[in-house]
Amino acid sequence: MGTLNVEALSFRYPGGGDAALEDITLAIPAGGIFGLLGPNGAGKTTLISILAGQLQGATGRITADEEPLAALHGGRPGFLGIVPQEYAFYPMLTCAENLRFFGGVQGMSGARLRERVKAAAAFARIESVLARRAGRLSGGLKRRLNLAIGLLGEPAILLLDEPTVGVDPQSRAFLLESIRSLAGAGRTIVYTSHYMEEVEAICDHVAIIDRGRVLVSGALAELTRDGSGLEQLFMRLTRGTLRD
Amino acid sequence: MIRRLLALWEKECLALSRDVHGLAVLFLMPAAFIVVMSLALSDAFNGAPARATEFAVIAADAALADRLARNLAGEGFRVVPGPESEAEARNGLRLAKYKLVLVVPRDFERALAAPLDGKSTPPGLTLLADPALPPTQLLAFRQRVLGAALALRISGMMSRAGITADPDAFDLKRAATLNVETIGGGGRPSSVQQNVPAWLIFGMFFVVMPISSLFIVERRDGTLARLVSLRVPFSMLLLGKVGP
Repeated sequence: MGTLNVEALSFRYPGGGDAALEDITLAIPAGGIFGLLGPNGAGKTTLISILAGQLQGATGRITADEEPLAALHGGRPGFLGIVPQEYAFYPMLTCAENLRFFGGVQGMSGARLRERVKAAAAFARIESVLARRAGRLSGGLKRRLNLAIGLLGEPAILLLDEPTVGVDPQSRAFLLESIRSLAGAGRTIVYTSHYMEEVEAICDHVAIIDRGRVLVSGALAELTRDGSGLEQLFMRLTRGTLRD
Repeated sequence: MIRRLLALWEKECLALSRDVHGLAVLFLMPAAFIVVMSLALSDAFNGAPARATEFAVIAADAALADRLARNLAGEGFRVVPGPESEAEARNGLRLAKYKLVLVVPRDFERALAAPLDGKSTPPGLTLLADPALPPTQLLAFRQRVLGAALALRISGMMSRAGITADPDAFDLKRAATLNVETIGGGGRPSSVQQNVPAWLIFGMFFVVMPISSLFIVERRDGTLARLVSLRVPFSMLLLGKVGP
């Protein structure tokens, strides 16, 4: 897949005051990891939700390979995978049942479903807990299950919304390594996080957004060429003020 | 399409089978409701009351009281030993000791013998009734009392005319054999048939409530957003919950 282009994207929540996103234009190249940064309430999750098709009513254009993203996604449910901030799975079901269910709603069945469940579980290293109820897993295992569900459909576009929140350093290291290994092979990955060191470690390109606008976007190496770290750049652009 | 729907149904069944409280709300409470309502209403709908309504007669003339009691008893009404006085009868009714008490004034039989023309007032009787008695039963007993009074009047008239007749010959129950045939329709509904509409509403209540709360929980957990991003239409999500 080629570049994912977001052009003049604006969005306002129904009944809301200010625009949540204002004229966002981004070029997200394939084959790498694109870091989306911003303070709380900047619009990161809103942008991810629009890309995932969860929010409707945005103006502007989102294309991949010159095709509207909605059309590509609509034609193949697994084209786009999302790993949300929340543990978006069913705690009453076992890990295997969760994986089978999310595979099933993408239209998979039989040998293909079994193969994908096995592969996603192996990737996230949750094979040993497949029979355990998801609600009884540790925080790190829940994050890994969340990631495995997002990978079931072998998505060409993977949206990761703060996938390492609330996990121990070992699990974080594993998750970052796993995400890094997903890049390439034409896959486009969008990664949001508040941890600058994570973004510096795994992302090739970044965009910093605040109050629904893009403050800066480009290759990470270019943006930090002056020797200042990403955190310094982030604080300078967002003016380091506390947000509501 | 069917595969995705089956996956949704399987997930709901699995989740439900592990939710004891949900199962209780879905099945045990409506089942208990049906049993209780059927038992409570079975008497009202099985064609005849299970227990005869008890009544007593108070009259200064014990022979008259006995004769009236014999005429009034049967077909859903059963005579019980009466109170000593009207005051005791009223008190007994307040305490639900009696359902019906017929108070016959002194000289009632003599008053019946007086010629009845358009100007005179017929002799009075007092019927004390429990307010909880069904109106149809009260009406039936009232008609029976008036019939018994008419029988007394006719019996007296014949006696004065020198015609001897068995006083019980004018008992309404012995006037004729009346066969009642119901024609057309499905007959009287059973208690079950009578309550089906109420059960439907009740059932809807117990279906709509859990479904609504499922949607709320899925929205809060992020699973609903994840399913939307996998292009599962809302109609299918709804069908996935209603189906099981």
